[in-house]
Amino acid sequence: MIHTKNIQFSYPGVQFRFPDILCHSGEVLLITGSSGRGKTTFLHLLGGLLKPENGNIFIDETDITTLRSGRKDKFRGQNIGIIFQQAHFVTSLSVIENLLLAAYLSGKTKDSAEARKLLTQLNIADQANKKPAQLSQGQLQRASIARALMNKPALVLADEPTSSLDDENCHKVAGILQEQAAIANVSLVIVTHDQRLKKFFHHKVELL
Amino acid sequence: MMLKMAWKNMLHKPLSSLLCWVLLATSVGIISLLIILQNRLENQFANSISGIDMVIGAKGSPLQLILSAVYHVDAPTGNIKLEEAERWMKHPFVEKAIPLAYGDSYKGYSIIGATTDYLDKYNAAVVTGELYENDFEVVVGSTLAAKLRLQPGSSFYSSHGNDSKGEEHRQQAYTVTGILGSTGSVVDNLVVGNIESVWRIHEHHRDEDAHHKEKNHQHETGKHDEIGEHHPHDEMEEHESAHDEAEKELTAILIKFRNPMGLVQMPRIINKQTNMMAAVPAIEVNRLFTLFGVGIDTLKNMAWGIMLLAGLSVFIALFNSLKDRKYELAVMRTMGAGRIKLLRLILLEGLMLSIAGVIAGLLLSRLALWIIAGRFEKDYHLQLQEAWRLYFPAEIYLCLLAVAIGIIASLIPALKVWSVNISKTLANE
Repeated sequence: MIHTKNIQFSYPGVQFRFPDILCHSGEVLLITGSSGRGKTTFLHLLGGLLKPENGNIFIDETDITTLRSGRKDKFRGQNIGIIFQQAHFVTSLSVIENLLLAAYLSGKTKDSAEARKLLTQLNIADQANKKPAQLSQGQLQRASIARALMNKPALVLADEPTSSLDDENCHKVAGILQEQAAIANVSLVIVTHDQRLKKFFHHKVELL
Repeated sequence: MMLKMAWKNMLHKPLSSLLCWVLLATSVGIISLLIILQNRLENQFANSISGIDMVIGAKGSPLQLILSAVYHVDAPTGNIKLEEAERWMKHPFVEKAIPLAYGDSYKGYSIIGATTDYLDKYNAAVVTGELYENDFEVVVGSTLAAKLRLQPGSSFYSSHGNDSKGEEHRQQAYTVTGILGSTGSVVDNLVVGNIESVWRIHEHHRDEDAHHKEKNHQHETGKHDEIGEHHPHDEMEEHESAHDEAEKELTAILIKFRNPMGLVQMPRIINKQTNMMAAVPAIEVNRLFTLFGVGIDTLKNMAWGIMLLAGLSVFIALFNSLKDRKYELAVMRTMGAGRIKLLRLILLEGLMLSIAGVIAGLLLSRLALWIIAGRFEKDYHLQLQEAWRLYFPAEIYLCLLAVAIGIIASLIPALKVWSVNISKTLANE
């Protein structure tokens, strides 16, 4: 579960006030808005990559705005999975090694059975031992969903997960996201300007 | 996991890793080889002069005298009269004087006529066969025996001078009676017999020369009486009986003094008052080291230069790869990796490269050693067989320094990762 209160943030010359949001476990929240409305900034605030000037962000019971840098890195690794618009992987490692790396970096035990299970669920088990550069965009996006879910997080944040995909893949990924959020019982927050996603998700907040 | 990742990252960019590795290995290899050679050289030179305070020989270059009388790598400066030399050998300052007569060689290896004191000085004991007893019997140094396949009972003709193409003394062969144990000194590469053998071989020689000279003399001046003992003789025995003690010659004398006073006074006196020359090995060897030390230092400096280049290439390789990897590093931060963990990863990559370079460098220097060992032993009588070991502390310093350069080179990129702004990096895509 994630909920926020009165979050404010500013870059030099730009001031953002974000609406309060609430997303329970197993639910999907879609945050939309056109360019320049601070979608990515909001997502980074939710993930603790940026620190808000004001307000609170509660993930389950923890207010991440009060955590210090090192603790926050650790909390993020264990409780938040992030899916980026461009799927960035450690290029020298194979797909499955990248998943295991996520577990290792967050301080959890490396469970390769879990990693394989996730890859199978996302239908890319046959790509497990390939290098990220050998995968297609759609496969990479699915691999990054698997990676985000690897540590059984409470919250998954997705930044424009479908904008680089064609309609068919967009459709598939949206389905997968919804399905995985339910299976893993996580709160899934998606920020996007992709109009195609609106018809899949009912719970929506628009940034103005 | 970190190690595995550092390793995989290294293999991911094989060419730039290879460049760093080769540069480091080359520089470490060159420096290590120079350290070994210098060490062996100084050791061997120092070993051979221990117990020799002064060398007396014919006038000429003192360095040449030392090189020929102690190391047997140069031609002798000439001969000195035994009669004159004996005065100094019996001087009260002198504890021990070892007379040497040499100048001939077998296949390029010197044949030394000496008293058995010479063998005792180098702790050279006969391990196979027996010590020489009669004229033209010799013992052979261990290295030389192995190389030339000499055994007790072998015989050979000596040739005049130091190189193997000199004129052979055909009239009299030497017989090997024994092989010496390995001493790690110059004796390992020598043939040693008694002084009389050398004298007798050259009597004949001188005889022939004198014979010709005499004829010329007769022809030109008619005067020949004063060199009575130089009349031609067919029989050696007869000849020797006629040979005057005064005409016997030595090539050099190795002197050990009773006390330092001798070292202070005697060389000066001998050089001033006689037509012989006294040279102090310690001084000459020192002079030699300063001479070729310049060469070694130059090479070393060049190798340090290469090492700096290696450091630079490690730096550039890491820096460039980090530019490509900035997203993946930022993503790793989002996955819970703290700054210190990433710092460690980058340092580990640099460390891995430099350690691989150092190990390869050390192996390289041993390989080079193995390749040049044969030639160095033959040409310079420099023993390199037991030179494989690690040299303390010079090589340890070398390794530490090379690794330190690797770490320093990776520190700057690592610190850059430290200060990266994750949000900005990931938003600017």
